[in-house]
Amino acid sequence: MASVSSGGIAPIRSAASDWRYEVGLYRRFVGALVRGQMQYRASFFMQVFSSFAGNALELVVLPFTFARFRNLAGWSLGEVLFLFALATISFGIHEVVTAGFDEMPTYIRQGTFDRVLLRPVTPFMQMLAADFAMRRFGRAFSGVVALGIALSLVHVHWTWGKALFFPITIASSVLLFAAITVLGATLCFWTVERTEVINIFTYGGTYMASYPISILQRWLRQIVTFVIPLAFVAYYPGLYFLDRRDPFGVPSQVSFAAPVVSVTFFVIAWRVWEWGVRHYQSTGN
Amino acid sequence: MRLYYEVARRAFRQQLAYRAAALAGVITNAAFGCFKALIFIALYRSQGGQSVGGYDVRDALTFVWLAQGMIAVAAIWGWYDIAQTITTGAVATDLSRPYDYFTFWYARDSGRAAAQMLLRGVPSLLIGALLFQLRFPTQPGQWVLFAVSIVLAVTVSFALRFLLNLGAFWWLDFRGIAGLWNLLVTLLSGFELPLVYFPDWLRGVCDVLPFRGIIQTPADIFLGKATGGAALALIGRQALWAAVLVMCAQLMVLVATRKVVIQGG
Repeated sequence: MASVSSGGIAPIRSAASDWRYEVGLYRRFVGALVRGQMQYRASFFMQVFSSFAGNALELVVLPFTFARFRNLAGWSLGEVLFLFALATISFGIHEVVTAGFDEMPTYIRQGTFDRVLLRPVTPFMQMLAADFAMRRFGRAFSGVVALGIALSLVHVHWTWGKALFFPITIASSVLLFAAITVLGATLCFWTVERTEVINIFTYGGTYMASYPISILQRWLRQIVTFVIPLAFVAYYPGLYFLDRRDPFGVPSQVSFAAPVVSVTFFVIAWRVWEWGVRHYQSTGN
Repeated sequence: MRLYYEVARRAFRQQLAYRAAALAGVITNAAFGCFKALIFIALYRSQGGQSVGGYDVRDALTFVWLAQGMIAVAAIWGWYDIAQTITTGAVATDLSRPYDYFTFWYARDSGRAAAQMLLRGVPSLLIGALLFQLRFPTQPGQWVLFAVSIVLAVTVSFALRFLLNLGAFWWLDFRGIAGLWNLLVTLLSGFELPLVYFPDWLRGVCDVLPFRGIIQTPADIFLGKATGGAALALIGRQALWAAVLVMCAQLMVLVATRKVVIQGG
């Protein structure tokens, strides 16, 4: 706490200790937020359940669909549920962690962001620490249920490599969704209001990532591979877990590119955010 | 009557003020419409183009875009205007004003729905028709029945939302219930998946519930799956539910006014 209460002037720190200082602060903030949310237990569990139920819809709709249709571009119910699980678990975790960025329109409209700029902590870390929405874990949980059902329907040949790559895939997809949310939040510097169009890439992104990308036309496949790399959330890693091949001859090694693609995309998003912060003009009063 | 007309007209104009938001909404609805359409195209392709549950691929795509258009018109999710007045306490003044509480809100919602029809409903369907091959009504009579069915769809949807919102009198934290409710409407109206693909037992259940009146019934008429007497029967059932729900809503206002707990001073 000593460094916080040093007369409002940021003490001179090396880059490395800066980093540790921010992570320490973040942990304090999140700890406080979590404790705060747990004060209203009944309300909290109701919200978790509601978030679960809202996303469990696909768990009903997909079996109905596959009871009527033979398959989806050669993919079975279990295989599609596996993709859905990957996308939903990672989107759900991302939604909990990056909830602070959803507050951007309020911060900008009310001028709170000016205050953020005055504090001796990076704005990125402050927005990240602004909220930690535990109630949204319901979505990730619906993904876990989907994974359970998927694994009971498809026989995945687990190897050490797959067991190791699974958590890496989840982490990498969380990062990818986080990048999209950060880009959306950056847009608020200019639009002020959160524009609904971002939903295409966030909610639409997880929706699209839940299905085999091979059902898309060529140009759309290229967009979700090279521009907004949603195909790396579930489809390409999924090919590896399920021992499938891309029907358009994409080499199977591409599955392992997912972490690299996500980290790159996240770094780009972070840079764009920092650029946005530098160009931010207060709404004034 | 004049009062309610003015209320509806103002609600209509108020909606028209948010044109940028409506444009963003149309783009978003259209993007989701495209994903859904592409999934149906792939599903039907693996089926060799055979129709499923009486729908061919063209019916399925038309259904998708009709449903996308109805999102804003029927305000399927997230309409908590009345619940908010209950939390803030403004409901107390609203209830003591010299008009019929339900009709006042119904007039407002009609104005809102009409504006959303122009801003989001029709544009969504047009975008769908530009990008995919859809099936449009061939008979003028079908259009008339469809229009009637849409008015009833908005009425059923409004009465249900009104009942849900008034629930805030009893459950002060009502977000959890609202989440469950959204799930129910999305599934049972046919929005997420046309009811024709449901297992037969559940489809039977949905047929007697009011929710199908919001999406499936107007779609049945638009697609010509129900014509003549069958279409009239569907509309009759929609109207019956509308009447029952409006009565329930009026009854609930009576009960709620006796129970009213005003938050704050």
